[in-house]
Amino acid sequence: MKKIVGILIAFAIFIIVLYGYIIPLQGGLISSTAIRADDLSEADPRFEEQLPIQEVDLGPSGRSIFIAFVMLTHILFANLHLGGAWVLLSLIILYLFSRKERYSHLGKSVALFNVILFSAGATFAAAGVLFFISLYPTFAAQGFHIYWWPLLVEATLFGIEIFFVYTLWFTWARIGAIWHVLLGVGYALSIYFQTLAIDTFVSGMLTPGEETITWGEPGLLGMPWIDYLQWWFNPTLWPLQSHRVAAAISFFGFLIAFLAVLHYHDRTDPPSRRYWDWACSFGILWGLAGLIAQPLLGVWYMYAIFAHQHQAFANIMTGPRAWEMLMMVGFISLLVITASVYFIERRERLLIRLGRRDIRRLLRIFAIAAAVAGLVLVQPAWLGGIMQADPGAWANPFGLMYYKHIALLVLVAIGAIIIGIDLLVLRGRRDEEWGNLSRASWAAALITGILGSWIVMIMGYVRESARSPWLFYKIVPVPGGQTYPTPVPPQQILVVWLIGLGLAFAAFWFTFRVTSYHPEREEEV
Amino acid sequence: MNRGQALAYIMWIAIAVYIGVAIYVFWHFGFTKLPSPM
Repeated sequence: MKKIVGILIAFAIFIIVLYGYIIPLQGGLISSTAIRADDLSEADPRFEEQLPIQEVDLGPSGRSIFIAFVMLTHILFANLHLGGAWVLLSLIILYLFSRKERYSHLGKSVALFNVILFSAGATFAAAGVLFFISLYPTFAAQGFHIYWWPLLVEATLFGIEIFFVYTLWFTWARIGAIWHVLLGVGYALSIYFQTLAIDTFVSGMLTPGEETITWGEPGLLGMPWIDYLQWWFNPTLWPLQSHRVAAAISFFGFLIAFLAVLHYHDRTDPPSRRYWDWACSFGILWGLAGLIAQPLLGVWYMYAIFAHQHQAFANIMTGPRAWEMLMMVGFISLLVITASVYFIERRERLLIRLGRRDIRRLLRIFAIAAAVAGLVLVQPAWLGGIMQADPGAWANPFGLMYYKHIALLVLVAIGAIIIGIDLLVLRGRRDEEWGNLSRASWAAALITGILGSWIVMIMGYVRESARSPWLFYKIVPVPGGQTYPTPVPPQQILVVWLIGLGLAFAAFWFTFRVTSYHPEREEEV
Repeated sequence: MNRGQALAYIMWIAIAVYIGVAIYVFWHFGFTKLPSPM
């Protein structure tokens, strides 16, 4: 357990240093509304709010807090489908090839889990739309008008998506293999395209397709078709979509691991313990696979923002919101370290029995290398200025971006090789060991579940912060000017994250208790 | 070499290719296109 205590201490120190030291010294407590005041004064009067500002009695950032809470929590539920659909499809395919019942049992549990929690995700989405209309009416009028057709597609796909997943669960093991696969593929594709439809809107807020909003004549198209295409298929659509899918798969994998170890704890019969031990390992492998895809997609996304919205790039990379990126890469590092510790501890007994000291040593080296990479990644590039280029700002020689690229590469390579070792080298031998989960592996799985979900909320906040103080960048401002600064301040967003995580995890656990399958005593896993 | 071993080799190659792609992506975007913040 020393390694787990070390991870928790490192996490606590990281949060304390970030909030107590780095954020204040990088201007993270100063709003973008204040920093970009000159830009705001040049906003087109057509897009200033015409109606009185609707306050919500939560201070100057109250409206932003409402939106942050409802949308970031919605993302956690929506990602159950965006990531979970692919994991579910993998379970179907693995079952068809191997005929091992555990794949089928976990697949059916996951399908029912997603069916039940579909309504929670949809409720938060509907609440988000309501809040946007009520709190930001000018933005809502423009945005929902520009994105009418993608939003219609999105709304339609809500129905198609639940049809696929509900039918998949309801007919589980009662229809042929090909139908299972078709329903699984239909579910995964419907949620993929549904996310793509909403991402046209989300990405367009950060990198609008046009310099202003120009409407045409009444009709099926409110502006020329080519203009719509510019808005919908804006420069950050595909990087955002790709990054979201990878993040959702990672989130879902780590969530399965989290929920599995809770069942491992509350079940006493050996078959159930073997089953949940395996499910945890399965989840962590998916989590790690999604995680190592994110830095690649992330750097593509960053480049798209750099190339098309340079000021937003400066906000989050060399400006007052850079602390959010530090937090994100810090979490990625902690996730890779924790996953390494999970495999070190979980496979130790098997590796000793197989005489594979080389792999044991390699896994330990990986954990140390990931920790060093993490130390490089969390280095602030500068301190003592709002922007890195500010006169008098202290440049940290260890915060060079090139070092961070190398550190991210190290994490990607470690994650990929760990997956290879566990799936390929230990293939066929792991099944001898299920049911012997150590306390350290158990705790490591819990930590990955929480960090894997929290990082999803951080990512959503980073995008919102990059855009502040605009709703459509440099077109529609956050209404209210200096009286209503954005983004949500660091301390307040921390509270929003914790409440959203607590709420979502309570829903996840209580639902998972209902939907989980536990093997009978005589059944082999 | 049986089918299982062949599959394992193919997957190792895939992992190596993935790491190669990662190196290329970071080189392409990180080192040549994105500015260094220093």
